[in-house]
Amino acid sequence: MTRRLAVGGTLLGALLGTLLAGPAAAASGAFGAPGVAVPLAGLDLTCEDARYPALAGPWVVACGPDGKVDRALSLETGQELRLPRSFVHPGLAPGLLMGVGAEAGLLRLEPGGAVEVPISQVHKAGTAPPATDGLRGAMIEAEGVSAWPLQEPTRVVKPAHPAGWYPPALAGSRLAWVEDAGPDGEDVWWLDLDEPRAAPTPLAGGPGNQRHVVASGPFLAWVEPDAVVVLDTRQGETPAAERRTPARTGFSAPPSLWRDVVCWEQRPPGPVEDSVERDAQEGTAEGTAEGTAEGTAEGTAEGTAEGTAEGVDIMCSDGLRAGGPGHQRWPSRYGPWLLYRQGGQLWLRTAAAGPEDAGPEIAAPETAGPETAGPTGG
Amino acid sequence: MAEPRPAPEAGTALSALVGLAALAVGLAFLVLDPVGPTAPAWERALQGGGAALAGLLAILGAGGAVLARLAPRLLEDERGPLHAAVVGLLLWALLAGGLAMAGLLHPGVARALVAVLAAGWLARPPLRLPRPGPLALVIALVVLLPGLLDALAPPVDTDELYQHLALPRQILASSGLVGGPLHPDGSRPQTLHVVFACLLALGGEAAPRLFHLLLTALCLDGVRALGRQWLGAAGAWAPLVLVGSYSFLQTAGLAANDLPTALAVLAALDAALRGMALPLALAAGLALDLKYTAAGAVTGIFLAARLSWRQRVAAGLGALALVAPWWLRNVAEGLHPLFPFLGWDLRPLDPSAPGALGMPFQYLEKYGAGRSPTSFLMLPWNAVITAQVDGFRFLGRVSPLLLALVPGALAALRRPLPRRLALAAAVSALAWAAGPHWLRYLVPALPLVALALAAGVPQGPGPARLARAALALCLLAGLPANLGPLLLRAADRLPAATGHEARAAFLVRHHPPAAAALWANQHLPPDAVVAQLFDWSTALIDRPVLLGSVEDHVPSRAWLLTHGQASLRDLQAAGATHLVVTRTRFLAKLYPFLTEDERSRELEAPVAFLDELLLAQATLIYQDGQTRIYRLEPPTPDAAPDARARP
Repeated sequence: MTRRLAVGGTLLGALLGTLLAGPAAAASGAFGAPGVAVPLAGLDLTCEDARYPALAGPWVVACGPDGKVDRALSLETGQELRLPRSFVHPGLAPGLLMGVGAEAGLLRLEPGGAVEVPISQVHKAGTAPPATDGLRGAMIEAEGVSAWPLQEPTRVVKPAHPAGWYPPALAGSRLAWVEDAGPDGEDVWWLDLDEPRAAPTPLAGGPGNQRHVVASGPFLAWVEPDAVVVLDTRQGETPAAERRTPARTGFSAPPSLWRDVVCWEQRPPGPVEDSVERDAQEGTAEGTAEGTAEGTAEGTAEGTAEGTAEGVDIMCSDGLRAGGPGHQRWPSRYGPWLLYRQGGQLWLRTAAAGPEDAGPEIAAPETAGPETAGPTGG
Repeated sequence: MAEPRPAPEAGTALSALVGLAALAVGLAFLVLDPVGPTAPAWERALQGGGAALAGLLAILGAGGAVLARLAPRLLEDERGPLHAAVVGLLLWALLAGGLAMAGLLHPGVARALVAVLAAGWLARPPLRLPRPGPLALVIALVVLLPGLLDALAPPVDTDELYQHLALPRQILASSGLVGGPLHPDGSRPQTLHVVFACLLALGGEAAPRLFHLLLTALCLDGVRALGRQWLGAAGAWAPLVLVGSYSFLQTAGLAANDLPTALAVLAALDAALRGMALPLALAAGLALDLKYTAAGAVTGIFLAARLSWRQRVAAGLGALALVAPWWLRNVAEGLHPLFPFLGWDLRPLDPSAPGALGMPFQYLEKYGAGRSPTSFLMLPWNAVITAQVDGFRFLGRVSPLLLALVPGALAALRRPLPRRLALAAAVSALAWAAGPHWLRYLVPALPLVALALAAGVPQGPGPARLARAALALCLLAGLPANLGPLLLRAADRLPAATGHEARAAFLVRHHPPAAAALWANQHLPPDAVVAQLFDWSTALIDRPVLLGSVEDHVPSRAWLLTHGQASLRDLQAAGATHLVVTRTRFLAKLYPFLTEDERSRELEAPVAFLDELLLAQATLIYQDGQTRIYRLEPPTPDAAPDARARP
């Protein structure tokens, strides 16, 4: 009985959220209701690069039938834009899409439409999507890393041995990337772009692989064996600058970082055989409605730090989660919004707090609470 | 008006001067062309071409020396090179195959084998080298030029990537043979692949492909020679059927096995018609070694042979004796003799595995224009008129002469030789019809069929001349559809063949999963072992490779259905450290002969199951388009940190 009420309540909440969020969003308001997950219909087209669809600030950038990123949806106004041109591997920043090589250029997403911003274009192709923070651009090349001010034609190339495929990350003046360290596996290296003579140095290395470095403002995050690490670059290389959260991640999508809030895919604990067999048999489509309630109960018992045994879940360091039967994958976080994929559909979960809240400085994952709970304090 | 005076006969000095000038200017034009081949392209061509030529001379020398002892009659006329090449190729395969079975085919040994075979020239075999006429030479050069560009461009053909270049690379890397469920194609007879391995060692990637091109030219000349010897002037139409057929020329410049098989079948035919049992046995054995689908043509040739039944049985046993070592090898490894075509053990090896009820190596219904009785009756018409180069409707094209020559061939049946040829051709065609309707599978028998059809071309003046003119028009009518795709492909290959398109760019453009292979070569540890699931870029990966599969992906599906949740662990136990997985969809429209339940259970379920396994047990380290690379993490969660630090 309790379970049925929970299921019904969740469905009603989702339905109300969709009804309220859809037309209302198209008319005037924010997309998605706080504490609720809604599917984003019409943005489910498969992208050539699995990193997309993703959030570029308060915009969802998604792909057209040809698999290229060519449209954006504002989560603040519900407005949908068709971009004047498409990208296969754009670098994303809040409201910005930047390409290099054959898709060189910068688009700024505005309520009136997407605007081509005149910048110094880099026509050399990289070996991974580029990165931008609105002031600089950066990219990975075969034999090094490069960065440039967007408004200047100068490009600094530093010799390195990047692993390729992992995009670089810009946190203020710091450029970080994943280095192919040979026998040592993958390490995270960085350099200070404000120091012209600075050489690349290791940021995170040692046994195991350190990879999937991402940035938001002055913060960097990356994946280490059994942990996600967030670094505040303003505090220098001090122990206080670094926050390590236990996690079983890095096996698929990179983490997503908004300020110092990091979200990641969490692999289920326990015998992998059970979860594989269960997921293969049940599938995600039919499990979503019922599983939400079951996942809630199980998640409560096992703890959010562990995730559920039902499949891959998404955890965020501020307590926001997307879980339940099936797999929740490819997190993309900005403000209160968490974009992810489940069962071939795009979903948007909105935290209870507004985007203006910075979230806790150092947030430990919540160990109790309902599935749909977001951060309870600023 | 006065008759023009004939030009005086040129002396030796003038002839030499003109000849040298022509060669020098031609060479300068090639080498100094501002947009001509780059230096690396020249190097690749010369190295590969030198090795290919050395290989051809080696087999001619070795084969000629053997035949000079065993059957000197075969070397007396222009058919000699055909027989010498076949016997030489067989000898090469036997030597290299024996060494490979013993694990002794090191690159140095492989290179030395060519020199050993070439020593056959010391016996001064009385070989008459081919002397095609100017017109024949020009036609051959024109139709084989696309093959030359194919041979010099990077490999992107599916069968080359998966088998004909991949297996020789694996043989060279291990100095021995590979096989079994983790290398299923290595359990086929490796006759040609050990030869290709030697050529790879000698001249690089282009060598086996250029060698194959030379064998194609030899096959065309063989058809010309047999046609002239057995059919007179009418025999000239046989090679025209071949040069007017896309499916015959399609693989000329690739490392492949259909055309070498055709060469062996041709030699077998000539030996059979001349009543020579031993050469028949050798050629037929080689043909079966190269490709089992030669069985139909070989059977037809045996039926048409000018031999007693006792001689035919002896020759047949001799041919089978040449194939038997490969069957015995499979049996010794606990496999079905005809594995991987038959004998997949589909029982569950893990309690979680569903197993499979059956797994055909190829779905016959997938190719051609149907398998109903009406479809079979219409098969000759459909195969010639409605075939598609790029679709599963016969996957190729042949000249319309194959139909146009039928009335004449039927009329010629009153003569004994055309009757024999027709019998052999009919059995070959029936055998092809019983198998997958893929025109490439007809190629081993195509020269035989062409000769049988050419036997009916009317000779002489008058109405016969008009008939021949009509046949020429028919040949021309078929050229756009047959040669057009080859010319388009040649134009596409030209920049890469001449070094003006980067190898990586060409590979990725034609074979998108190549990007992952190139990344793997650059970034995976030197001691990595890669297991391929639903991927076939085997020849492009510079690491030891396990599994790999194409089209219906039998090896990958069989592994997943029999190993279940232990699939990745068992691959790891077999030595795999990384996985290359290409996303695969089995479209319903390509499998209309399967029920939805069958398609879901046999085709789609393994793919979905693999995705779940990867999420649970592997780490994604690279993705480009549909191809992903995973790292298999050590299985023990409480292992020491250093053990977990494996890159």
